[in-house]
Amino acid sequence: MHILLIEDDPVHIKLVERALKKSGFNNRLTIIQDGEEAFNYLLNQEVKSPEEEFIYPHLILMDINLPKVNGLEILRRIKQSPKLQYIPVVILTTSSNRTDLEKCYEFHANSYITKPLGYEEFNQKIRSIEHYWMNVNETPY
Amino acid sequence: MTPPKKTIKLEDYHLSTVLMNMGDGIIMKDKRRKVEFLNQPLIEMYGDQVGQHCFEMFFGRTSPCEEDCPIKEILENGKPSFKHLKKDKYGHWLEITAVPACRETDKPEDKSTSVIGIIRDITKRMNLESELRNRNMELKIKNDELENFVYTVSHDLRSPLVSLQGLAGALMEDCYSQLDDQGKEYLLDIKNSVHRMGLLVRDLLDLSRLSKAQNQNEDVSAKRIIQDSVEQLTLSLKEKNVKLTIGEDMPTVYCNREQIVLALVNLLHNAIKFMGDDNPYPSIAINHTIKDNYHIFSVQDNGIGIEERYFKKIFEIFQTLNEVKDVNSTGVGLTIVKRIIEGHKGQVWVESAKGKGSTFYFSLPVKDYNPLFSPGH
Repeated sequence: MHILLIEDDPVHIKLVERALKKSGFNNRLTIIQDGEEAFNYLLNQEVKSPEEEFIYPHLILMDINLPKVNGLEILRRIKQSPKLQYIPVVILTTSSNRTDLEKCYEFHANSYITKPLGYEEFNQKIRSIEHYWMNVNETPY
Repeated sequence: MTPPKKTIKLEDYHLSTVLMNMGDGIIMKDKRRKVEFLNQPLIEMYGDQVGQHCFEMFFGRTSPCEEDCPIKEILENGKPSFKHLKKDKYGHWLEITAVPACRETDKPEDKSTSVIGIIRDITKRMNLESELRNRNMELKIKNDELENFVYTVSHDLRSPLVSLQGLAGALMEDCYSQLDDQGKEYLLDIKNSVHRMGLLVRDLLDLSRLSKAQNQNEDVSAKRIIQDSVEQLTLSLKEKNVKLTIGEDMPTVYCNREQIVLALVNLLHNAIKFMGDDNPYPSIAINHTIKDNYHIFSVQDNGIGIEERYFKKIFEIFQTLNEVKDVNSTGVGLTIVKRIIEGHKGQVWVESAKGKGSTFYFSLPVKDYNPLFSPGH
């Protein structure tokens, strides 16, 4: 199982990592901190050898306010790519802006979750995300 | 019957005095658009132009205005034209009323022989109107900027708050037992302060969202609004053991459902908060009545009450009464209520006395009733 976390805030990365660990997730977690890097990682994969074969993430957890390339643009490109379109993308953001929410669903986000302020609530939400998308949901990959 | 000659002379004299001294300009012209008479205001504006064409005198043209000619209709079919707006060659805005210079009994072919024009220079009014429009536009832009600023700031503040709450939580979990009493106290203080800041940011966001959401009114059952609001406060109501009664026969109201729920949640939250710790029978009652085309809703509690001198102050932003020390109090709640209700063209007010509970009222106009066109509102 492989989760890709696209998040620029280093503290939020620590908190998500911690919460995932607490929820029992011990598999691969790839962290990317800016939009351009995420874009290159996902869309410009060149397989060099069978050992280096790219393992598509089973879940992308992504913020929308990212440096260099905006999260919405990345989402749009993921959902337009025949190779990536079925990877579930969960938007995890501090924005409770209705326009952001509607835009994300317009670009086919699979879920939109506002980061809660409380520590316990934060952990609870990450636990729910991990449980549903890793254990309950099924994808073609 | 013809009036005696002396009367005619006297009337001519009066008429000519009025014509020459009135504020508006008067022009008479023949059917070839040649000026036959000008009164004093027009002579002062354009000089004595008798014998010249009106299009030359007003607009500096060498031929009649092709379209937009205020006297075209009269010359063609004897019809008057009222309050026609046109800019002259000097940049003055003229409001032109043109009528045929004939009597109703004249034959149709004579009706278009000459024309009387009443010319009002409305340049000042037009300039003022234009300035007012520009000012309004500027004000709207500034207002939008301010609202966007509040929205962005409140929004961007959420991110470091998530970090602070998360780190404080992690510290509590991992290192709490290693801290001495003072360290533990400091850590709790940090958590509480961040929690309070979070509530403040949430309320400011709610407030800034109110201006962004407009024209989303629909017919909603007040019963449903009350249910939705009460649901959000189930825990607090239970904690304080509050008995809640809701009046029967609640109406359907035309409003923004989400906003009225938010207003009611704030009023109920306020009632719970100021219930008083030693209140043996805490209770809240929600009722409705209708008066003068307004639905009046009331939220009545038997809490600690408010002194009359605070009735206005409590609706101002960041104003809290010091009666109850509450970390969840931001001083924005009642401001949100006021903004929502006034946005619906209603009003909010309170009746209370210290130690005798409070009743908050809010009014909403009944559907299709526009208070702006109602006398005495």
